Parts: sequence; structure tokens; C-alpha cells
Amino acid sequence: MNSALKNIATSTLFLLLLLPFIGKSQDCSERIDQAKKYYNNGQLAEIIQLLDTCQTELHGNELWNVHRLLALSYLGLEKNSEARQHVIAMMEISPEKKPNVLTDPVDLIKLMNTVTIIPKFSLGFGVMVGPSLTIPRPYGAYMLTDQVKHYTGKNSLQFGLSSSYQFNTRLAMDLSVLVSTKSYDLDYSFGNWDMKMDEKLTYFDVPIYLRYLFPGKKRLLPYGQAGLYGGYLLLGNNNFDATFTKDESSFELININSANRRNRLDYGIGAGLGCMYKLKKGHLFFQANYLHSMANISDADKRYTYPDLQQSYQYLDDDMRLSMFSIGGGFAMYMGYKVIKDK
Amino acid sequence: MKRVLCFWLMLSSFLIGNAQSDCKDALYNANLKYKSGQLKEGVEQLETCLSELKGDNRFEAYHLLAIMFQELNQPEKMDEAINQMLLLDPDYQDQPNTDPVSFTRALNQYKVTPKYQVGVRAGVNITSVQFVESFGPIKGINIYKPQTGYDVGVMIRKNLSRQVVLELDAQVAGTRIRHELDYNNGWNKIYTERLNWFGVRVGAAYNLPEFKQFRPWVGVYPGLDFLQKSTVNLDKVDPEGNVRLQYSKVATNERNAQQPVMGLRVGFQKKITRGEIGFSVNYRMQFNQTVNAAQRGSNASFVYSTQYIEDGLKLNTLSYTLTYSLPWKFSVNKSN
Repeated sequence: MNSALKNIATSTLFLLLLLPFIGKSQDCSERIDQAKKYYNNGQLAEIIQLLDTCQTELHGNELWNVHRLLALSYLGLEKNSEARQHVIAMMEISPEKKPNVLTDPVDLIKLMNTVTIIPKFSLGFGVMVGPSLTIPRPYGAYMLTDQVKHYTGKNSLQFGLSSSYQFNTRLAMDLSVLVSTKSYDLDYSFGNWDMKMDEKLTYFDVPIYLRYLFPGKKRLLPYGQAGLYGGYLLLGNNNFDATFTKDESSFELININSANRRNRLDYGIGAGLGCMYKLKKGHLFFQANYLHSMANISDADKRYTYPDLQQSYQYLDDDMRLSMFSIGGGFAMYMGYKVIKDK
Repeated sequence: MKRVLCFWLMLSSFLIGNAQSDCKDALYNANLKYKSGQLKEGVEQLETCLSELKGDNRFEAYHLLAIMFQELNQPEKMDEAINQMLLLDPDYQDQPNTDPVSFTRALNQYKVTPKYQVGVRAGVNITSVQFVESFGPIKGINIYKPQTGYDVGVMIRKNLSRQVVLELDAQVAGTRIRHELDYNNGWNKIYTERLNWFGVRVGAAYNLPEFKQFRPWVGVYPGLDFLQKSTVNLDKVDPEGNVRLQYSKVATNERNAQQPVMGLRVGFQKKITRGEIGFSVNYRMQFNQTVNAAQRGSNASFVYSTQYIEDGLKLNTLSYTLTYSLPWKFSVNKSN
């Protein structure tokens, strides 16, 4: 019984403490209705006086209505800079809300149209799709016989997700997660043997770019970007083919897992150019990027641990970096907007 | 006869042109009538022009009609107009407005829910094996180690009610098997197999009560997996682990091509500015063994050089998946 009484007493005290705040916001809600009546009667100065203290007590729809009424009042009183501050506040609450030609006065619509709104965060899904060309850059050759090695980069595919955070009208940060396949052929020969090796390495790449948006046309925006990337080797697939040139006989070793001979981590720098075409709730983009690897793909400790590759194919892994040129495009969706405030 | 035809053509084009010019300013004129209290006239003006109005104007027309029907105390017509305006702009309730307070209160009784959701899912999986029968060595230690892989897919959900959701999934998945055989001071073997699948699921999920804007759910997802490719690698490693001999084969034809599966999922969804994100944990059981018994050991050269025959295994996969979905078509319901 005692505890029940205590609970009632605590709840009553809590309600009594909350009462002034509830009263205030209810008061402000009523003031909005009063302000609308003042506006219809042309009593603009009274609106400012009435709603001035309500800006800190309301939120959401009601706060938006307060800023709208204050913006309209200041516009009517020809105080454009004050009106603009309230329009900005309105648009910060609801950046996607468009002016209503039926209910908004022309001056308010004009003022709303002068405020810059940028997409704050955008997300592209499964759309960074495009061909990529691997550029092998060997810098340390290892050979068991007198050989001439010739590397050729091959086309493969890159796909993934991209996200972008825009700081202002010109600068943005772009972070992508990509699955990139880097593949190349190696031709080498010695004595009467022609050897071919091809390898496909699948990486999980994370490039992060600082993007600069150049001034463009209304919907078409070109951009340049530069940054860093890190990658992790997921899969490695390797095929060998040996042909004895005298009788054209050959033997092969296919689908060898090469990931064990490779360094798992890759990293480097990257840069690219692109353009975006703005649509209603997102943009289409098209871009070309170059990723310049700074990591050796070969694990030096594993170079001599595969005797079948050495004996049958006279093969040793070279020190090599794999760079990549990719062309991709896709669609990014705007997940939120930001109002650019006046300086 | 020609004259009559000409007259009718001229008359009808005049009438159509006149109607179009009337409807051009229908919204503006109806709004003036609403403001001056001529509600019936405003309704009449808009109703005759509804078929002519498109896009934002059509939305505004239903919006204004709903407000006027409320003031005319015609709740059934208001209900119909609100339905139409919310179908044209399902996000309207999330944005601020200058509507009369009584109309906002009436509008808050309606809930817009997507009829369908289309989305993508991606995640990582961990595959462990369920041992059924052994064809391995009789001495030494052999261990199957759980391996990571990936799940990527698309889905379409139909909300049958607020609680029950029907889902159709299509996904590609990569799973791996790793079998390590330790022969005590002899050459050890490491067997790895990569299996790529294409799978379809038809599942049902049950939405649990929302908790702080997170909507938890549980679901059952039976389906079928189709094997796309199986690649086997076997490394023989010397006792010090320094020297490796490598063997490989494409084993797709030695495997069962179809796998009936049962998936159990728990997860949650959260509405964000655009669409919904979600996270789920999925447990997938395959009912058939991976190896087709009739094809076991059919690649004689591989068996001869590796001295390895695949065991009878079933795969169980636990995956952690992120989802993102967008609504597609909406329904409007009024709460009682």
C-alpha cells in the first residue's frame, strides 16, 4: 500500500514538473493559429512579437509553420535578410519540401528558390559496374632458366557500392566498396618450350576519394577525384600451359589456387574523372578511375615453396604491382539533403 | 453532308478547347472559391477537371478536394480524396504543411504502407559441414574447418498484412569446404572446394511488434539451390609446411546439381529517409549431399595423384546479411 502511494506521489510530482513545459508548447501551438489570423489581417509586426519566443519550444511541423509565418511577415515588412534566415530554417527542417504555388506567395517562392540545397549523403547500389583493365607492373624478375617474360593486362569486371558525403557545393568525399578482378597473361619461353600462364585475382577494394565538382550545366556536373585505396585478396586462380615446340605436345595445370603465393593486402593511390546527371531523387554517374598499386602481389617467402611449378613449368613469381584502369557507371540515390547557409 | 461534318468538327474542337482552357486554371480557381467559402463550386470545378490534371497538379486537386469535403461534412468523399492524394504522394505525412489543424488530425488517421518492396541483399556466410559418410584415410587426423563465403541477391516482398510478408528471393552464393588431413610426419593434405550457387527462395516472414522504430521479424524460407560451379584444389604440404604440390579439378559434374534447402531467418528492418535497411541472420540447411554418389571417384587421375576421395557431406550455412529495399506501389488504410 505504501509503495502504491509512493508511486502515485512520484508520478504526480513528475507531472507537476512537466506541466510548465507542456503548457508552453500548447501555448505556442495556439499562437500559430493566432498568427495565421494576424497574417490574414495584415498585422505582420504582431506575428513577430507573438512567435518570437516559440522558436526554441517547438519542433517538426509546428516549428516549420512558425518559421514560415515569420518569413512571410519579414517579407511583408521588406526585411529580406531576416526573411531569408527563416526560409533557411524552414528548409533545414524539411529540405525536400517544395514551394506550393497555390498557398505560398510569389515572394516566398522566389526566396525559397534562391536557397541552395545539396544532397548531403548519397548511396549507389550495385551499380559501379564497368570494365577494368589490369596493368601489370613487374619490377623484380625471378627466373630458373634464360627466359624473356612478357606480361599482358586483360579486361575484367568491377562492381560494388558507392557512397558519397557532400560537404558543400564543390567538395565531396566518396567511399566505395568494390569487388575487382585483376587478370593478366604471362608468356615466356626457353629452349624448345613455350609457356603460358594466366592469373585472375579477385580483390575486395575500398577506394576513398576527395571529389571536386566543377561548375557545370543545371543537371550535368563534371567532377575530378583523387585519393587512396586499400584492397584485400579474396581469391586467386592460376592456369599454366606448357607446349613443346618440336612436336606441339603440351600439358597443363589448371585452376590452381594462387592466393597462397600472394600477399593478401594491396594498397595505393587513385584518381579519376567523371560526370553526374542529376535526376529527381538521385543522379546517374559515369566515371573513369586509375588505381596505382604500391604493393607487391608476390609473397617472397612462398616463392620457392611450389616445386611442381618450378620443375614442370620453370616458373617463379616475379615482384609485381597490379594497377588498374576502370570505367564505370551507375545510379546513386540521395539519402538526405543539406541547406547551404549564408556566410 | 460535308458541311454538317465540318460544322460538328468545328463545334467539338471549340468545346474541347474551351474545356481545356477552363481546366488549365481549375486548381487556381478552385482554391479561390475555397478561400471565399464557395466550397460546392470549388468541388464541382475540380471534379470536372480531374482527368485533365497530371502530376503535382493532380495531387493538389485531391488535396484541396479532401479539405473541402471535410468542411462540407462529406466523410466518405473525403476518405476517397485522401486515399488518392496519399497514393500520389505517399511521403506527404512526413513533411510539414500549412493544412488546417482539423484536416491534419483527420489525415493522421491514415497510414500509407507499401504493397511491395524490392531490394538487394548482400552479406557474408560461414559454411560448416554435416558429416554423413567417410571415404577418407583410416589413420591420422582429419578436420573440416568452417569457411567464409558470400551471399548476394535480389528480393521482392509482398506485404499481405501488417504482420505477414511473402518474399521471393534470387541469390548467388559462394561457399567453401576446407578439409585438412594430418598424417603425423608424412605429407599432409589440404583439400579446398569452392561451390558457387544460384538459389531461389519463397519465404514467409512474420513482423513482431516495433521496438524504437526497429521492426523485428522471423521467417521461414524454403527453396532450391542450383550448383553453378565446383572447383577443387588439393595441396600436399611437407611436414615443415615449406613445400607444396598442387592438384586441381573442376568437379561440377561430380556434384549434385540441385539442392533443396530450408532457410530460417531472424532480422530487423528500419525505415530511413529513402526506403528501408535491414539486417538478418540466416541459417540454411541443404538436404542433399554435395557429392553425387554415382560420380564419386570418377576422375581417376585426380584420385590416383592425390589419393583422396571426397566424403559424403551436407552443407549448413550461417549468413549475416544487410538488406536495402525500396517501396513499390502503396496502399492507404484508415485506422478505426
